[in-house]
Amino acid sequence: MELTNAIEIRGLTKHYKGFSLENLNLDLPAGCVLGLVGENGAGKSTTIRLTMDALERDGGTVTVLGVDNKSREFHAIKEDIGVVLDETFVPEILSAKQLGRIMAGSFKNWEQDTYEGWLKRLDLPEDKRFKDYSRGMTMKLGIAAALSHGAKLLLLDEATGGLDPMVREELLEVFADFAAQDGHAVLLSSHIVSDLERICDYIAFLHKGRLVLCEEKDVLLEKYGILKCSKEQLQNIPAGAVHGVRIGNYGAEALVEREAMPRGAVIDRPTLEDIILYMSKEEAK
Amino acid sequence: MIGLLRKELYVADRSFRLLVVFALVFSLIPGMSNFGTTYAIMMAMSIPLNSIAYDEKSKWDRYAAMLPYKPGQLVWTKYLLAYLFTVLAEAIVLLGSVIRGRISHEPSTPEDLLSFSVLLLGVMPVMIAAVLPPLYRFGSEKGRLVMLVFMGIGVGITLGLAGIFGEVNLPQLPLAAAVPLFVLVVVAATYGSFRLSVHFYRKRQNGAYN
Repeated sequence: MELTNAIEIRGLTKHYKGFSLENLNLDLPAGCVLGLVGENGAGKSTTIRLTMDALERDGGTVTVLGVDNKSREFHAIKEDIGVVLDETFVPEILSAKQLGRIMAGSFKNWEQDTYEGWLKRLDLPEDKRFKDYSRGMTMKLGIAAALSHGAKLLLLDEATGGLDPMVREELLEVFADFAAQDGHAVLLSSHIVSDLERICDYIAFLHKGRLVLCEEKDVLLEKYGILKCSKEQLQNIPAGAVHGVRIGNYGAEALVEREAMPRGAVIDRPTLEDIILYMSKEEAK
Repeated sequence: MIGLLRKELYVADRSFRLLVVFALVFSLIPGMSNFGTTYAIMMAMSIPLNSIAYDEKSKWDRYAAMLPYKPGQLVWTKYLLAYLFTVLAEAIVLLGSVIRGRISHEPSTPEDLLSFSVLLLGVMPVMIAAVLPPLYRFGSEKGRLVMLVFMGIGVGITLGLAGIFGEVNLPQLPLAAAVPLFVLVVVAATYGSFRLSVHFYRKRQNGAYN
């Protein structure tokens, strides 16, 4: 049976002191890259940890690669999931070579040649201790490990942060190629919206633990536009079609739904970053 | 679990080398064997503590939770680490004692050291069972203090018992009854401790102690 969604999240809820992830519903279709975007503390890392059952949830269900993540079978499914976290993850006195041996003893499908290939490709020294690694090198190492055990699903938490533009570009291509393979999928959380715009098929926007939107990226870019007009003209736009406003000295700019705009209105194509910024300001009001 | 054990051994590498040197040196000095044994075992017990401290600093536990391991496996590795290095420390001290005996033509395994070692090895699983849950509950910093208190009490009891048994003829349980009873105590203590450590580990993962 072919898998429709690599991840299905329904009504996921988690309460912390001072933060709640509320009733999250999210699908990551197989063969796609889903970008998870949101400010610091929006709940992106929490979502990834809950997806891996690394945190106790307060409500909802999560299905990963067709398996409920609370079931006994999920333990075996973890073999098929590559994860990169947004922070240091290996004791600083270890080296990349030692990490390879640790992973070889952790994953049944560990591919040592693939790992060594990634170390070379990403210019990572095998014997250097992690305490001498930069943040970018640590992230690259995490990516090398995640790509070396035949994973079908990649969960990448700020994995491109701290990387130089050349490497970022290369890795984004790697992620896109990975997702294009049969039955594969990628969940990528990032602050760098331009990265998400480049490779994502779907965008999910989290704000203060709540899902503000989740749509196909191309649909988003088609659906919304930037309207430049006077403050008076803005008053005549249906309120429901406006998703964010910037008022300046010489007029107004608004994120609007194209279809609701009067004929003849001048609407610019937004970037994904525009959409996210306008919406997050609107949500903050 | 092989990957986890490998990671622990890599992290413990330096401490292990120090342990070997200290244990050998103390066991080779006449009259220092008991102190050497105690010191070596205390060093061995600090290895899981160091490992937990490294894990906290690097946030290894967050990463390990993403790997195909269960919380129980992640916690049990620390117990195995403690057992492994405790036995190793004892073995090195005894080896050093044998070497010293050969050089100085003393009996190769002094009886008092052997009995002290056996007694200490018997008490160690109970000490390990007492020490690890506080490390998971309080973290490596506060847990270090709790651990030192437990270790002091454990070694004190061992030395005290060794003294009492050496001087007084107490009514003793027959060996056939004492050994199963002792094994039962060790198993019960270890099981309770392990369950408690896993409980604290899960709560820590969920941010309960942040």
